Amino acid sequence: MIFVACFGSSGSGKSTLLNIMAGIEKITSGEIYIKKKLVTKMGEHQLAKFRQKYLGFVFQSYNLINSRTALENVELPLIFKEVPRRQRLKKSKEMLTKVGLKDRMKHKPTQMSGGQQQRVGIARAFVANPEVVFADEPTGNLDSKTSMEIMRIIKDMAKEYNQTIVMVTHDINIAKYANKIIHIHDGHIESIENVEGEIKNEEN
Amino acid sequence: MKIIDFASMGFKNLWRRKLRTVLTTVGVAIGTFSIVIMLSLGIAMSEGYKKQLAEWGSLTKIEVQKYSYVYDEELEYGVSKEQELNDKLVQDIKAIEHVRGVTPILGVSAFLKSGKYESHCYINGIDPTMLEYFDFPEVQSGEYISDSNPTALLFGKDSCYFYNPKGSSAHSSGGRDAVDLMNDSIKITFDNVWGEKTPKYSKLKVAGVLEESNSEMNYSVYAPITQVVEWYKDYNEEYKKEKKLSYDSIWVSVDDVKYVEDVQEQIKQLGYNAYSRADELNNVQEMSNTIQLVLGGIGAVSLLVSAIGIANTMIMSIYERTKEIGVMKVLGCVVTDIRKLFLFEASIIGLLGGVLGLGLSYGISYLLNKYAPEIGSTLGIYSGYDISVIPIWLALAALIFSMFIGIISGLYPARKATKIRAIEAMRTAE
Repeated sequence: MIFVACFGSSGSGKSTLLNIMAGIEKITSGEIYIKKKLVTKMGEHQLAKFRQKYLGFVFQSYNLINSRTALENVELPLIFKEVPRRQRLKKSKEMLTKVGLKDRMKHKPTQMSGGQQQRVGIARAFVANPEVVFADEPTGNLDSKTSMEIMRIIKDMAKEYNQTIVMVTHDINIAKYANKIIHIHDGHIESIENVEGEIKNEEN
Repeated sequence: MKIIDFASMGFKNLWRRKLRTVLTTVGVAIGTFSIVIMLSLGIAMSEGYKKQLAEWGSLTKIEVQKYSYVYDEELEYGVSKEQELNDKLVQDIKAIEHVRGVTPILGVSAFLKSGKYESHCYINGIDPTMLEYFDFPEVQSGEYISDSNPTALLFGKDSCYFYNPKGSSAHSSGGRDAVDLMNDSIKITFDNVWGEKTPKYSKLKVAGVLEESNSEMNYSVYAPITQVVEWYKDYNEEYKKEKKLSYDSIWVSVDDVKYVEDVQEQIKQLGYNAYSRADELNNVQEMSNTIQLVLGGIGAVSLLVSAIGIANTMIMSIYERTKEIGVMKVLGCVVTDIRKLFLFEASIIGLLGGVLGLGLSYGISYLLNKYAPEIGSTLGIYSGYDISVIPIWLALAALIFSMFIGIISGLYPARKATKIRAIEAMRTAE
């Protein structure tokens, strides 16, 4: 597992970095490779297929679709990937159970707390078993207790399937969950810090 | 995405905006209804006329008449032209391809007397072997005429009006049923009953009486042509003077309606004017096409309005779903799937409207056919035919067309949806 946090104050360019890495925002110069594939040269269709296969997303404002239940929200990436229904439901339920929402599956986002919504978001990000999950301030709208819970879940998930997490945050306490912190200031990388303790924990 | 997922997502989205979906659907329904009902009126009109023509006489029949009406282009008015119809012409026409039967027709007038009743009638000579080609009604009693019994006559159901010259009241003055043709004793003469000589009567022989019909056969009397020619030669004043025989007309039966025009043309090339019901049918067809075009056009306007309604509804829904579309894109939904989803929703609105409109059309059509003739008959325009006919092809075409309208009006909104940029879309509040 690789867990990278981009840390910086607001306006430092960390979110933009994440967006262009994920191909959500277009860049005017430079190149981005993910899994040895040139993301910046991909057409819209190709990029969508690439996201289906390799990328997952967790957003600060959850970005759940309000008209769909928790289960239906988690199902979405699998629908786009054309996973058969039975398999899709099984996998989605499994993910929701893992994030602790076993009895909230039929709830709509508006009937859930922020922490619960973000857990749905996490289940959705991980359901298609992506290799890289991008998380943009995943705890930005949550209180500190819930934030810790959410970070724990993200980290456990990534550990279980040996996935890469790229997270953006302005909260150093959150950044510390990563094993590598990239400090960003005014659009430049200031320093890269390895979080020793955590890595050691991993190895044990 | 799979079709089943499009359907489930699409229907869910439509259900989410129930009221708007229903209102837009009603719009399409009204559009479909107005086109279908308008066309059904036009179709009924032309079908009714076709039936009427068929009842009056066979559509495969061509008539060459002794006195034909010719339009003189130089003089710019119609003149009556006499053409000589003889056995040679009968043979020539028989030789034309697709002609299955030809008979000359010649008439003589006769006078019938039975007890106190008398009647003038006109006896048409016809080739008895050709009866089968000219849609004769079944015989009600007796049998058809034949050359083996040439003086026996075949009567149309309402061919002879017998009257009582001495009768005073309506009841005693006679009628078509006053004399039983098959059983009463009837005398016939071809002499001029008002002439100086006393007419010579002979006993009338009746071969049969036809069943009632709407065709000209209902009002005519028939005898074998050979016999009628003899009577004609014996009694016709004109023939006695000129010794020249020309048939009144020649009936031609063509094996299929589609060849009628060809045969007619070939008869014209023999130098004779010919007439058929198909001529009229063509005129009617053209007229009803024009009427249908106009009526359909009126209906099309309302369908156009409903198409704009669909486009409007879909565009509105894009504005509401901007964020959703952005999220879908980021989660890996390909652009073509987004387009398909919107087209699906638009086409469902179209199809639902079509189904609803068609149902409405069938209902109104039923009511029109049921109640309009009653109103019509009080106004004196009752025709006896349905005034609204919805054939299967029209129903299917309406459904396909309404769905097609949905897709067409969904094109622009769908395109707009695919143009939404994920990053901006996700920033908009839901």
